[in-house]
Amino acid sequence: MTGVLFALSATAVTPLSASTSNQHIQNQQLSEANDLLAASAANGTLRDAVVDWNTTSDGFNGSGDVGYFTDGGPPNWFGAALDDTFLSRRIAFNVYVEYWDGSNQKQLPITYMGTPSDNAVTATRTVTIYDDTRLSVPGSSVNVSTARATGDFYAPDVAPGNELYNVVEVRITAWRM
Amino acid sequence: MADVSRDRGQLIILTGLIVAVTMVALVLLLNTAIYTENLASRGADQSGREAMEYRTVVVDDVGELIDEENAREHGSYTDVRTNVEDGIEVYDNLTAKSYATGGTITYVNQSASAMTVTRGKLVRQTNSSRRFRNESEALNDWRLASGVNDDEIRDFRLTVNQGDLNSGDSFAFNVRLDDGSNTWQAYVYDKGGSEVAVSISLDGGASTTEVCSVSAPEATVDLTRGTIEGEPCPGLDWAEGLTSDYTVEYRHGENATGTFNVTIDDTEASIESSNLDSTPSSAVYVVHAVYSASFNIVFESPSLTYETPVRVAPGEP
Repeated sequence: MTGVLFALSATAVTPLSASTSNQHIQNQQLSEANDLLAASAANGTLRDAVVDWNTTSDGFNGSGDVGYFTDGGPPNWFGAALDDTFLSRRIAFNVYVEYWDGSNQKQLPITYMGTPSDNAVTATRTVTIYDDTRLSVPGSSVNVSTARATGDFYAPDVAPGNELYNVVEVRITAWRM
Repeated sequence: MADVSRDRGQLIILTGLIVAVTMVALVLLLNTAIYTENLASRGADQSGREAMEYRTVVVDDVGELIDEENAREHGSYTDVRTNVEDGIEVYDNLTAKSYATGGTITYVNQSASAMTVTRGKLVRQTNSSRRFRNESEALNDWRLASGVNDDEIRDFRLTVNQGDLNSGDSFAFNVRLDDGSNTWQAYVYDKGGSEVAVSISLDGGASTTEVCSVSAPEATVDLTRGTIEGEPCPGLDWAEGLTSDYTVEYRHGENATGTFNVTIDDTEASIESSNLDSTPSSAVYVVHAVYSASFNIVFESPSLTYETPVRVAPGEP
């Protein structure tokens, strides 16, 4: 009898047991993150989120002095989608924008909720910005190249003399809290 | 007696232990098998998905790049073509670097044998208060192009002011396609209640069918993509029922104001330049453009090599 009990408790924890690090949960979170990026890229809201830049405070719009958000997604369509997909189900996430400055890749947080756990998943998507892409801050009609000329946008123009401005990468890291 | 019962007790404990060990071993074995299978299949699935995503991303981005360069209204075809090619090169370098951090090699094959760029013209009107008449304002019914096929015209977008449209579809502004035996007409008019509506006629205007409407002071109708204000309009099916090369004409251009853009492959179709200004103006004009680009893309991950030809012509019907 003791032997059977021992056996049952020994089988309780395996890689496939229900837990925050369950393989299926990771797979599911990864495809959710990927699909979220694909959907926002398709309707243009991912690009809007990348250029939602406040030229006065030099940070993502609405993030105050810190320059990024700590309690959820940014106040735009992409942020709302992030909150609906992850935050409402108690999944934490970090969102970074990675861009090219000369030959260096630089990283800027949009949302930073802390250090990810060992079982976090990461999904990425590239977004192209053009010279005349307007900053998506409500009431602003400035485009990225004009904003950059006065030192008010984070990414530089990698192809001067060309309509291409920069190719940035949005990276979501999600993990169960 | 006492000895016998002691023997039985040992037997039960021993059996219990054997059962326990067997179960642990079995569970471990099964779980390892499932876990390995899960991991293995996940990996293969991932790179397949990523390869398809890379294809979509490149086609979308290069399409936008072409349209951005076209909209810059370069002075010559060489200029716009060089800019598009340079743009693709820079774009390819940056995306390749991004993908390389994920352990994947990607590139756009830009060698002369692999890449073809097709010349085109962008016909546009950017003055939003102007009527859809020809360049000299003399004609309300006029021709934009002839000898056009479905893969020689793309991104036909009209943005009209609701207040200046004709009420009802008779005498309304319409885009007329004619292949000599059949016609296709798309009417854009004011439906009343500040709604902009689109009707289709396949019999030269004798009967019309309303396909969609939208309530907006300014409405964008994308004729080739079949959308109105960005929303899909299933009945708006460009050149439905036409079987050979067709002409593209505006009718009742006096009954609408707004802007429009259309990109036409002028190596195949011919543009009616007498109705258009040849340089940017406040009337309707034509500028040099790239119609489409075809090239190969390559995606290599540790478990997958994927190469495919792609053709980029955004907004083709």
